[in-house]
Amino acid sequence: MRLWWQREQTLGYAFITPALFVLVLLVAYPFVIALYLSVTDAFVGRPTTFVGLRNFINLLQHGTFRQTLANSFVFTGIAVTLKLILGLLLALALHQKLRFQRLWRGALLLPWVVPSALATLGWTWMFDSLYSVINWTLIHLGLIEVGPNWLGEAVLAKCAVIAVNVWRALPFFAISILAGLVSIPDELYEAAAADGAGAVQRFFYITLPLLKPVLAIVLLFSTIFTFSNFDIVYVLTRGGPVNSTHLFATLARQTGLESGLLGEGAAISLFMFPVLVIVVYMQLRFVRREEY
Amino acid sequence: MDTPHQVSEHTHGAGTLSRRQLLQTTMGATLGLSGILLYRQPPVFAATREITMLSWNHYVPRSDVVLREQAATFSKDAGVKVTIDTIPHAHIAAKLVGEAQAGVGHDVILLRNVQTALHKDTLMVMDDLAAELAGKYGQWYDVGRLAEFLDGHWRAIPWFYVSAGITYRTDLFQQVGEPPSDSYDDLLRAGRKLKKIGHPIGFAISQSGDSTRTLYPILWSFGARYVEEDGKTVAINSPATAAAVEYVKELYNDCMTPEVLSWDDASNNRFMLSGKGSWTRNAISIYVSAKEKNMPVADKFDHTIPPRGPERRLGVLAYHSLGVWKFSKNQDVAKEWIRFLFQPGNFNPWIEATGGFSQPLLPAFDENPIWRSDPKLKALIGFGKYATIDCWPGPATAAAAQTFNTHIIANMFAKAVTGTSTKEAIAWAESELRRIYEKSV
Repeated sequence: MRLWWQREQTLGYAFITPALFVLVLLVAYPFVIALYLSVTDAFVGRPTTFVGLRNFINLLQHGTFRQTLANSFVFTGIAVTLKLILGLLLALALHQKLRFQRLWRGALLLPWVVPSALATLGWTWMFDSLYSVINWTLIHLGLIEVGPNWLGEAVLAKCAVIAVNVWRALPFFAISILAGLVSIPDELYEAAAADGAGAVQRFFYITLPLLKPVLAIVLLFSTIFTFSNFDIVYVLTRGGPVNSTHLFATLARQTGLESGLLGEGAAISLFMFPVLVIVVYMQLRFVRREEY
Repeated sequence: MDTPHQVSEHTHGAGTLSRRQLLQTTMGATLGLSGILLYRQPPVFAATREITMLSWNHYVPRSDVVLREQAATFSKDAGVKVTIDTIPHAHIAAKLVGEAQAGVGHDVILLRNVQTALHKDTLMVMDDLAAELAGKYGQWYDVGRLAEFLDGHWRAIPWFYVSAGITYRTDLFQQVGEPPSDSYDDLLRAGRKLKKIGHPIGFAISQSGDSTRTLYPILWSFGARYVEEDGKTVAINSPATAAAVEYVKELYNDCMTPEVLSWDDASNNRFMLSGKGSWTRNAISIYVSAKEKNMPVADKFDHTIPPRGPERRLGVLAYHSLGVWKFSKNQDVAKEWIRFLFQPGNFNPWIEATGGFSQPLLPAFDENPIWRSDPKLKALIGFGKYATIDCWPGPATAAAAQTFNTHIIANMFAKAVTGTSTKEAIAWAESELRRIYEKSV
């Protein structure tokens, strides 16, 4: 006869409680509150009333928000594409038999391991108007006379934010894709080679199709994380110059937390939620179909 | 929520978890948790005799040490522990909104500029303490009343202000044969010469607090304003604003470099300390840190009050006050702690520890010898007479705080100096301001 706490039923609850607790406390509760706030005119310290979808409609009429919306698509589109292409190239390179292979693979992970805010702080110094090491190098190589104003010019500031995001997340792409590459059986390549397929054909007819599930998952995660990025923009540009680098998260902070407009702030941060849900659904369906 | 689903799928038979049992337990846990969250109260046994204070990381770190020493003395005398948490100034606004919304947080809080207006209904009324301190040390300066006396009550106690004066290089101005700029015209003339010798002037035209605090005074000094005295009517679209914008365009093109478009609050400090810059608008922290680090450039810095414009001379100051949340469980002790800070035996040593960076809003403390001991700090005495706070000429309102936080005026100037026509830039600012003021209460 087992003791009461040894019974599977009790133990089951005991094991699942911490995870459930974390989910409810840190995910479900804030999410429900955010949903509630987004349909009210909540302002810090004042009584709130239900306003339906007015926050969302007002946002669409607001220039700064529309700019943020455009920024988010440009930022996510370019950053994810670059990460995918560069990540794939990097993974293919690391898949080759190289000397010091472990060292390269380890070094690759560095940008991913350094805390994001800290790494971005380093980048702010590299883009600094007075002490930019990038500008210093370019000037001393005689390539330019005056350094670009990295964080003060809208297009350059966008480039800077994208560059840091790509730098930061590239290891995630490369390592995930590398894992996918390693799992492709060598026999397939041998057979293809025997049939006379060249390197390009092997890539397009074997590597790419077999990598599809991995690529889909990586893209899914990356799209979500890039859309909701906060720290890089906040540390690098605070949304400037003239709101040209604001993303949903930074604008939501400025509106909700700094200015007290909690309802509108919540609406900003939830704006992309329906779109992201559809993205997630489509991609997961795609992955399941591919796998089974 | 995948978890319940997976568990019930993979477990079968008697004695194991069913979906229903799991959901019941989950509901129970959730309800218990919501209870705690709803009443926002930790269990009784956790309560101790302790108050907490939220402050910023002071630009002169030594003063935070003195503040904590005073807290230790108070703790010993009153038998109540005082814990002081300091965070970067840029994070205070978000932290306060978080605490106000959650209904939990520090007992005593630092409110900056017009933040009191944002939280006025969540703050404890302090009429008695404000009157008591004014009785002892002289009437509060007008700016303190403007920020704190809202809807007929003192919502917080003015603590100190930071002069947002001018830091300039005496040697460089001499070199180009210019006196310290007394008017914005003087500045334009001197700035042109200074840029030619490789020492441009500079202030941020970007999404930063420093930027707004330089550009508001220019706007005001040219006779413009973003809101009328009623605090409701948007007034940015005027010939005076256009004149101010045109002036800043000239200043930007002739006397500055484009780097100012990317600056944060610390950039102009670096600009001056590196030896490159000749003029900026900042607190005295540039001079103070140069002196602390024994940099040779320290001797070459001096300060002035804000320049005069065609219409008036009006600068801005960074303003700080102490409030107590209505939901604080220790309101009396919190008030006692604020009273303790204002005792001359505490307030004076603390001012001295800030090196004169923090200035009082009570006349009696202006007599502190710190501002007379160093001739370079003389310009600061009575700075409050030439300066006001961000909401001018309207009252301190949540809309004024939002205008400041969303960098509308700074962005209007940034647009104008980077190619948008003056008319368009002003029209943009007007529509942004209307959006804020028309829905604000």
